[in-house]
Amino acid sequence: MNLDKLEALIFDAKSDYFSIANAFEKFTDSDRKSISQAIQSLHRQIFKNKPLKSASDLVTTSLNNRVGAAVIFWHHSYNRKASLCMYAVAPFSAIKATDVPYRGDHFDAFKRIIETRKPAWLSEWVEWQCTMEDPWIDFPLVWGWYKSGLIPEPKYDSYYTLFANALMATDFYTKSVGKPIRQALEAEPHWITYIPTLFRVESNAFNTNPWLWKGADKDHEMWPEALVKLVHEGIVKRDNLLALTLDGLSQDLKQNQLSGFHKLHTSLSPTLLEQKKLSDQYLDLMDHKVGHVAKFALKHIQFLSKSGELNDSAFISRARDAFIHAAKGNSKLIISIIASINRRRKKVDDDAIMALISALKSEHADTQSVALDILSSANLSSAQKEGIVTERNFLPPSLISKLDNIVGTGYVRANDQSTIKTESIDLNSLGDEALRTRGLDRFQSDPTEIYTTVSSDWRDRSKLEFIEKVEPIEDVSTLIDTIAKAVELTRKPETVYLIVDGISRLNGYGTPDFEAKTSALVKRLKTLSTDWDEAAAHQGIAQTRDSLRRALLSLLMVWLRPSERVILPKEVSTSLPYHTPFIRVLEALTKSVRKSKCTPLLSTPSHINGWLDPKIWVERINLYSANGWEIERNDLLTSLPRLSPGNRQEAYKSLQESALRPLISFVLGQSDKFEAKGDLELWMTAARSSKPGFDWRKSSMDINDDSAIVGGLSPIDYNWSASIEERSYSNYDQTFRVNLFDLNRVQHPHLNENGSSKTAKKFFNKVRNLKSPKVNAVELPYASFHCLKKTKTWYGLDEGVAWKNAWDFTLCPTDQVGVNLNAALCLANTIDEDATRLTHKYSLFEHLFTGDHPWIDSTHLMISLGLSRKEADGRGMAVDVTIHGIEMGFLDPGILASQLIGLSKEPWLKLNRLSQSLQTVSQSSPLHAYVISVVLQSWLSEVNLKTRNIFMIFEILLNAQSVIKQPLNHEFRQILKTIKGSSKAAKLAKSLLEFNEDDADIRKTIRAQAISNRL
Amino acid sequence: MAAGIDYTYKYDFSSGLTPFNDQRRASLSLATCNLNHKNPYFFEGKMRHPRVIGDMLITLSDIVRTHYFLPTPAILDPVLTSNEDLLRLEGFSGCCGVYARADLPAEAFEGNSHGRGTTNVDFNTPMRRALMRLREGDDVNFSVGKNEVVLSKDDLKIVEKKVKLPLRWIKSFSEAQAYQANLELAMEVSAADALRFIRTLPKTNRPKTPSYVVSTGRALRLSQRKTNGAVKILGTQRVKTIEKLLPRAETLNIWHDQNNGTSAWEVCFEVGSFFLMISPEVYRGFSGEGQTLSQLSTTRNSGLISQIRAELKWQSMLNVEEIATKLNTSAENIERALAVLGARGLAGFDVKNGQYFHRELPFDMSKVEAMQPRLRNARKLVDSGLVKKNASLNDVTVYSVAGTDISHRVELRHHGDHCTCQWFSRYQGKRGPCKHILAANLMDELERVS
Repeated sequence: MNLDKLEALIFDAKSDYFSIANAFEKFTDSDRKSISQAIQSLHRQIFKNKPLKSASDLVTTSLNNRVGAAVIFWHHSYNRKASLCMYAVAPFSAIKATDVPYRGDHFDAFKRIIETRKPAWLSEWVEWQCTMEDPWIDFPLVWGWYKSGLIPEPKYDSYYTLFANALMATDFYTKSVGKPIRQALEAEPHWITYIPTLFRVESNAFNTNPWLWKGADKDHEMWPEALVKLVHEGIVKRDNLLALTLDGLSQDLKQNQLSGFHKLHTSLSPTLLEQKKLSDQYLDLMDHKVGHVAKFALKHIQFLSKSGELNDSAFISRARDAFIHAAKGNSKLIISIIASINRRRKKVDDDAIMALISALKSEHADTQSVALDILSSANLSSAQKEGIVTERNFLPPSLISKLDNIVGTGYVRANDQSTIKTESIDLNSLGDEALRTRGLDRFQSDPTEIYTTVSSDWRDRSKLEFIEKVEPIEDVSTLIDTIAKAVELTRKPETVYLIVDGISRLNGYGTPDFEAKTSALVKRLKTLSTDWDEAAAHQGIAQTRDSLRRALLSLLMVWLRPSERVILPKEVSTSLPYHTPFIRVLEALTKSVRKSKCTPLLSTPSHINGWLDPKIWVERINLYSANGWEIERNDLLTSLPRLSPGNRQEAYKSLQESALRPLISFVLGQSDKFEAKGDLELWMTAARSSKPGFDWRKSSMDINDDSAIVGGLSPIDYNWSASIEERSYSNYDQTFRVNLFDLNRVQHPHLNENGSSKTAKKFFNKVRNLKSPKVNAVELPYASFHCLKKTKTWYGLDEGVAWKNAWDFTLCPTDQVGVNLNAALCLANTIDEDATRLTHKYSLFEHLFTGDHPWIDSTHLMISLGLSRKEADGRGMAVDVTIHGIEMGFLDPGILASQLIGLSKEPWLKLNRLSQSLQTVSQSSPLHAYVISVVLQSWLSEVNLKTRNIFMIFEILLNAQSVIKQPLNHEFRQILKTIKGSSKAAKLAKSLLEFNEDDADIRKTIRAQAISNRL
Repeated sequence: MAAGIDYTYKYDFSSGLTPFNDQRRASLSLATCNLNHKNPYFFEGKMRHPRVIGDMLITLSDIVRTHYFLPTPAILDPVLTSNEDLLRLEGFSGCCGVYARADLPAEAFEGNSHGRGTTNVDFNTPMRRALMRLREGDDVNFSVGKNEVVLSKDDLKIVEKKVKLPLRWIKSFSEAQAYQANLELAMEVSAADALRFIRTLPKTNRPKTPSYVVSTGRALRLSQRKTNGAVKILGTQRVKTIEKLLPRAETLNIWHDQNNGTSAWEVCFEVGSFFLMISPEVYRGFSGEGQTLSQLSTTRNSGLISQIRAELKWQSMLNVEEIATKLNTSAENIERALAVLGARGLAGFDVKNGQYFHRELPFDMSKVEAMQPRLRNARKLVDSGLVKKNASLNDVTVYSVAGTDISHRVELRHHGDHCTCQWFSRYQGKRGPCKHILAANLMDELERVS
């Protein structure tokens, strides 16, 4: 048999796999060696479907004729036959890269080849195969080769895994041995010696997944039942099996396998004598890192203890280490065993005291509390008391007094903020305005005041002196670098404005090597413009899939390569209505860049969070007037909602000649004359910018009542509700509880949507479909912000863009209600979502740290929803913003409580999550504990106290009260008194009622802290 | 599959602990092997704090056996360096994103060191189980290497563990040194406060974006907001590994590099410490960071490096000033040369002392250097003549380096090199230089030499 004949066999459609096996039947080792290289080359050509130039005509023609799917499938007959040839002649290094025949004739031919060749590498190959994550070979094959002397008996773990899985397998998935386990072991007694390995290696032998039974016969056995029967039949020794199960539990194996071990152990029902023999092993397992294994061991230890057969000292010695990481149930079990030992001893011995002191390091307050209870009954030496004191920092505040009672002295918590000196804070040195804006005026007038919120007047909060400036890009090289970086990663929303502004100002200015500096960037932008997946994988400016992305990319491409015409694909998702004005600005700028007739943008923010200093705005208008440039209307329209309340008067004074003087005068508050003759939409936007919360319909101006669109001349009005609805679906018998969050824009009752006046018709034609994303909102930016479109979580990829979530808040800094509500709706709709790359909701809170807006109802609603989120990033940021809000006095406890009341009218909130968040806030300082206590008392007064997990909220309140040592308010005390029973909430309510402290020193500390934070 | 080299750990016996006798007396023996399959004998003594040492060794073993984002168990053994002052055991997680080191000073033992050197040590499952049973007050003998082994007969068989030693695991050893040299102490807290904080780290549903550890008074808190002095962590589960060490510890020192987001967590005991350093992101192992590429690419100072190498004698601290005086050069030059030696696996960095220490990794580091993909590609670019000098003005030299279909503009500057490629735009040099910058630097060096 030479290579030509082999090629003929491989490419002959009529030849079967056995013909390949037959071809090598009489090959000697030297024959195989001589043809090996040629076969390897042929194998490579076939698998790549690329004939070599030197290949025979048959190979070339056959491979060239093989087209379509046949080329890529490894199981095509050419490929399979080539693989068989490899097994017949190739060395081990080449065999490792060869597919293993699977089933049927192909596999049988492979076996015949191996059995004829008897390769020296077979044992090594089997071991290599076995150690693969999903081996292609099975136990019957390996066993068969061992029995026939082809390989020595394997001794590695993966072989025993194959054995365990094969004996229990049904034929549904893998090749099994084909008999119930006991019969198989009877037929092959040598396998009984393999049984100990079941408890040492990873296998399915003790798993209970239903798929393991799929296709099983009636008499099918799984390992646990087979082993129990083998014990009964005396084939396996009971003592050995009991010990093996415990040995297995100390192995690093998967939890479900460990669970199988202790289930088998339990099913053998060890006697007291047997358990006594195994007591050392139980003790070794009691601090096992897997909770259910430790629980199993502790149950046996408890049984031994009750039977008086436990080595108490050995147990207590191990208990000291076990407490540290034990789960709550297990640590309580350990304490109950210690308690029973104490009862037996009729005292608390030194070793038990040491163990109980270790229990104070437990992370579970219940365990710590019970340990303290037992310690309080012990006769403690001074050294032991000292030992207890050193564990003080591990205790929650609510248990500190218990500890202090045991040790007999009070200790001041070292980490409280009591070092702040109230005397050093002289409020009189601050002016009235500074006191008012910081919310310190009440502190000045009332020396007992602890916490007040800062001024809620937006004019006070939005002062530019509190807000960071945005530094514009000064040269083309920096602009290129900024774009290149932003394309890959955009963190701050201001970056987008800086780039757009840079292009508007620097277009026409050159830089040496512009082409060389931008060629990589242009290539990258071209890729991102067409490759959605690549764009989505980056948190850059091209990550969105909407019109904004298209507009941005168009602008960048036109600026970088004005002469190139790049066709951008259509957007995947619809832009939010309130993005439209900015998109129009980008489109206008793109046209200007193309024509090389750019003017600096009027609307670029001068400060972060989208604020524009009116003085800078007027300077820009003056520049336009001086140069005779025409102001782009959308640019002007977009600039109006950004104007800061500060510097308006000074700005107006610096205004030079301008055709826009009446509008500028009106928006800057220098005139009340509403002259909506020319451009009504512009004037309405100016009206909202001038007085964002004012209802212009109430003014004495001659304004048609019909034009009072919500967000037009009147401010937004809305309501929301959180409810639970039971729903049933036709395909299912069950009913489902669905959390609903409804947000409704309130229509003005007097307003007829089909209003008769011309003005009303004009507006309603544009905004009556506010709920539809198709609304053309460009004419009324404020109204578009109030478009309460439901968030598109199912395909809302854009919501996964962190910078864009934050950027939304920069579009209309003068009125955040609409964007807050959109954020709240988005948070509510995704409240139970896990974190993914697509839910960067944390960025919805980032702007709140600046404090440039009063925290209104909708802000507190956002925060309440954030604190209850499932995904950790958003929840963590909500916690941070709450902590910051309390420090700076932004957070209003009354408003936060009212939002929580609204959200918990039905059990809509997950209290476990909310409690974790509030606990973190409360632990930050005594000030935080105080504010959280106020919030919780108001909230709990209005909530159903039988709500599931409400005790978690009581725990936070108890801890907060333990820190601040202030009395509960009278109304709340009355409510607490109504809670009866022995539930955890009832016990905590009782503990709360026992609190009667009123610590003046801590009040001073809290007050001092509240003041010093704001200075 | 990740690139790797076939490697065999060959131990004379299995590391293990003899069963306790009635007086709770036992012996812990660590088996050793080095690159040449020799089995050095380093140490014999008695543990002063068996449970603490046991906890440190188990934690190190846990880390070495863990892959923090794939269910792929690693079977690699830690590396031990011995001298008269200290036993150091080092290793990386399977994903190479976590570096762990247990420092056991001479005071932790009653006994003397018998040798200096670096070796692999056998960590196996039975030994781990035995370590868990150690208690304070136990009388435990400890030996590293073979002298008179007191283990049972079953443990005395020669152990051979054939592994595919991932190249990234070895590369990480050199990268980790470069990171440690830039760490600054950010916080120091008591073990109790540290434990309370570590327990608050989520077990499931962890943040996917960076979190920051902030200090409020003496307590620590996890925040999602970047603030001054906050320590960035991504992958809180990696830090949670130290939880089991804290109940017996005294303090926790937290180190960080604000520039690149690496943090290190040093658990300090009465005697000894455990050092854990995590990479900036869960999916970024130290191996791929490229902090050492600049050092590896350069041939400058090769004479000085050879001189320093001659001074290395497994010191636990390399005194830069002393070496500088001896070699008649500046401390700065010595620091730079030691960084190069660190990149080549010949020195480690001890953050606490701010000094390098000598250890020679028991792997063939020449293979590692040859397989740094970025460096290899940069050399290819230079060899193929695809790097052209465009201009040199003031302190900026501009090169044109061929990319795919386009040419990248590389600026070599004194205050930081710059490239127009995507890699540079994304990381801004925080993950080491891109291949274009490396190529330009190589070319620049060639031109200077010529």
